[in-house]
Amino acid sequence: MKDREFMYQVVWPLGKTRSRPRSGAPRLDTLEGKTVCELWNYVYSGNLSFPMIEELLKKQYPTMRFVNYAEFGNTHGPKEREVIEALPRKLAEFGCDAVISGNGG
Amino acid sequence: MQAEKVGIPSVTVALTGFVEQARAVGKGEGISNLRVAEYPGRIQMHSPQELREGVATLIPQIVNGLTEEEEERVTSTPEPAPRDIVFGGTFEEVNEFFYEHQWSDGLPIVPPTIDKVEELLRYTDRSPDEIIGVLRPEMREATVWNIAVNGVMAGCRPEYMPVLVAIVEVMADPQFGLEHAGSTPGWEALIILNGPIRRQLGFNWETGVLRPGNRANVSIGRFFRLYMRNVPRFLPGITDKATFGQNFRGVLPENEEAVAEIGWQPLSVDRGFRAGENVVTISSCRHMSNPLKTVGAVAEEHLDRITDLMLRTQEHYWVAYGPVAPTLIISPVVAKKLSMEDYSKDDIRKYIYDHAKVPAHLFDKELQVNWRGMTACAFVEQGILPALYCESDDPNRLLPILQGSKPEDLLIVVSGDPNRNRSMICHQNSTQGFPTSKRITLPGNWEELMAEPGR
Repeated sequence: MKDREFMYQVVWPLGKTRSRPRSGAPRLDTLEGKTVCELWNYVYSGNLSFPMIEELLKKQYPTMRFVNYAEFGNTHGPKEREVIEALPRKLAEFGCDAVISGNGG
Repeated sequence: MQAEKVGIPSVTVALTGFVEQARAVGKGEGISNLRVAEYPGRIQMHSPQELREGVATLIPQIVNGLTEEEEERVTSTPEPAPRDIVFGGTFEEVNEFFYEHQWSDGLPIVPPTIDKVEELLRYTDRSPDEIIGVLRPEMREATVWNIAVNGVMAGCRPEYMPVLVAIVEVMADPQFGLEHAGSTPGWEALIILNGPIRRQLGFNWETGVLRPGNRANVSIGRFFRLYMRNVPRFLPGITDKATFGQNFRGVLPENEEAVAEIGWQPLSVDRGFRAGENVVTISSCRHMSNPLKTVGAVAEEHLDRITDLMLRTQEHYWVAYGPVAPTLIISPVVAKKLSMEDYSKDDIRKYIYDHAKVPAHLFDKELQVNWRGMTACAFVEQGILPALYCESDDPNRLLPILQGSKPEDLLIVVSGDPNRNRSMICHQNSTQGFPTSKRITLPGNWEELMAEPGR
């Protein structure tokens, strides 16, 4: 039997989470005719991949419209807080139905 | 995430190896079913054909992510209250339990019993329940209580508590950019300490200052990384994507006595505090340079070597990310040599800024690491770099590698063996772990507490 003197009753080292799980946005019934807005963190070749994404999606959905990432600013960098804060307003202004954000890596 | 929060469906594109991190960050923000499209492999290493093939694999994932509803993955398990006992056992059993739950750094921890935690809490006037901030990625509350818990675990003496609180205040400051600390460079903190508390707590700032061996230096350095693990929850492989990572680094106190002797001001004064105040400054450190030996009877011989080290060891393209704030650590004997030739810290900064330049063709070549096809001039056009980066199209024009930060963002600290002529540079990670300073607040009865037997 263990000697009680050598027993340690210990507490939790983490902090309470403020994360409140919520549902993501409802998905779209189709991408046809929709406005898709691009958000880029200005790394990992987004300048090359976004035009290809546009081209390939347009083949499938010819009436789809894109708003280029340059309209929103760099989502990762010295001005990212301002860029992120301004997003809800800008997404509304551009009439964004959906967003593609990249590139994480 | 912002789009989802305002009701707009989104897909995040992540490269292979970063999908889990993207989902974990989404979960912290409350989006438990963030839709992620995986680009296969490392995009920067792909030929145009491979790039096209890789992008093609994204299309069905994007379409699906924007149009197909997915079952909610909302799970919520009750978590303990601060004073709840989560486990009881021997030293070894507690250590195993903490390790299994990813609450330990792999070294033995001191079991955080309530008694031990309360010993640290005596050294602050702040309420244990006070919330210092909410830390990403897991959006957990940093409290005075959990600072003390992790301080116990790291092996800190109770009187280190005021320093620990200041460290967490740095983490919670938006300027520090903690949320990006899981990025692939895997930086580690450089914690610099100024003020009389260095002596009161028995820090080392001379020979072997960054070596393990001195309890105050090493246990507080360990605390930083343990806290990063347990409160923001940077876990290697999940939310911490350090390619290699580094071990925690001991605290670097400045040798203020040597600084005063040569007529300079300590770093804390450079950072806007009064001389004699206790101040913690933390910077990310991508890597420490080699400990450069400099020789010569003329100041410029030392400065040229130091500038050359800066040029050889800092990635030139780094300024395109934003401000860069390296720390130059110089030993007292080198500082003395420079001061004897009338170099102030500002003069040293100016010298390095003026000379740390590379030809434009090399700068442009390095830009390709992250921005294929881009040039310094293109970045000037986009407003990312200032106009001086494109004053001509001469490929041999010289471009500064430190431009973008204000002069005082080149931090200078005097520390290390007082008799050895060496210097080191801590290369900083731009907006991630940007140098941030906080005053250390002592409890009202500090002198009384420090006079207690055994202190």
